[in-house]
Amino acid sequence: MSTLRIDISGGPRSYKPGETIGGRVTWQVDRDPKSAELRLFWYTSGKGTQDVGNVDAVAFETPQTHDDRTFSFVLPREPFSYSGKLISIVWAIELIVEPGSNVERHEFVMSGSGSEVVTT
Amino acid sequence: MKARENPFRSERVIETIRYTCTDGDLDTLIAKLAALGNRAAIVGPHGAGKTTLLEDLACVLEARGFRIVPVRLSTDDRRLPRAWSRRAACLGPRDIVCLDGAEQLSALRWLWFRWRARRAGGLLVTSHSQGRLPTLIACTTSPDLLEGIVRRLAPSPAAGAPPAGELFRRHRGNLRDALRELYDFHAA
Repeated sequence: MSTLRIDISGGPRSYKPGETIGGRVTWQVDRDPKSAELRLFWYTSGKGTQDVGNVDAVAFETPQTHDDRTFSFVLPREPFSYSGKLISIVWAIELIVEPGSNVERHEFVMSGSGSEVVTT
Repeated sequence: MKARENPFRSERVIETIRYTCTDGDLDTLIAKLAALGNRAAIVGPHGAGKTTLLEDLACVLEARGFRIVPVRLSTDDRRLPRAWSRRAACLGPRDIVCLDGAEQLSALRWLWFRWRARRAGGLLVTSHSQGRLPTLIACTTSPDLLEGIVRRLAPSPAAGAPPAGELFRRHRGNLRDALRELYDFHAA
């Protein structure tokens, strides 16, 4: 059985543009991993076709079956986390260890005020 | 309700609901496709699950070592992508061309497309009507199918939500449009 974890430094919180999100990722997988990558991205959720914006990624070199690494990403200026009736914009980091469908995701809020922008 | 909390948000529908074959599983369809020389059509009206089934079959074929060459057409964009022309020039027996929306091509353009795909190991298309290639499966929908999907997405129906049978009739069996109406109902 595979276990993947994303631990954020200082615990989960919201962020402002330009801030750094960092922490530690840990994984334990059954087979020797060919790759382990952490991605910073945003995606849309709601009605219609989903959009995804890949912002940054780090590929961990020579990943082991049981491993842990540190990471940090500087957040861009936009887009802000947002929710309306038709669409939401959600920020996330995702750990992917291959082969296999080993994925762990951590979602967070990024905006000028530190809160999700909400319209009704 | 926020869009990302709507039980009928599109990515949740795609992740949760896959095509359910009433006359066999995906392996049965792959066997039938092979018997048809790997050239066949998934036929059905709007919102019947053709694209979903095409994606699922493509995943199985890819797992079996084929390279999938996806081509997508819609009423908004009926032009064949430029990448297709480049890719068509080097198709081989391990390539399966998956064309979603074959009905968007005129008869002449379809013949041209089929000729360009002649070296591929397979050609699997979706179409609203029969005739372009032998039919692999005719996708159909029913009020019961819609009700089952709605229950999976929203186990506790919201007060005042339109019943599945009424939605089915209103959208003439188009499940995609019926689920979009339910999205709007929950968003309101």
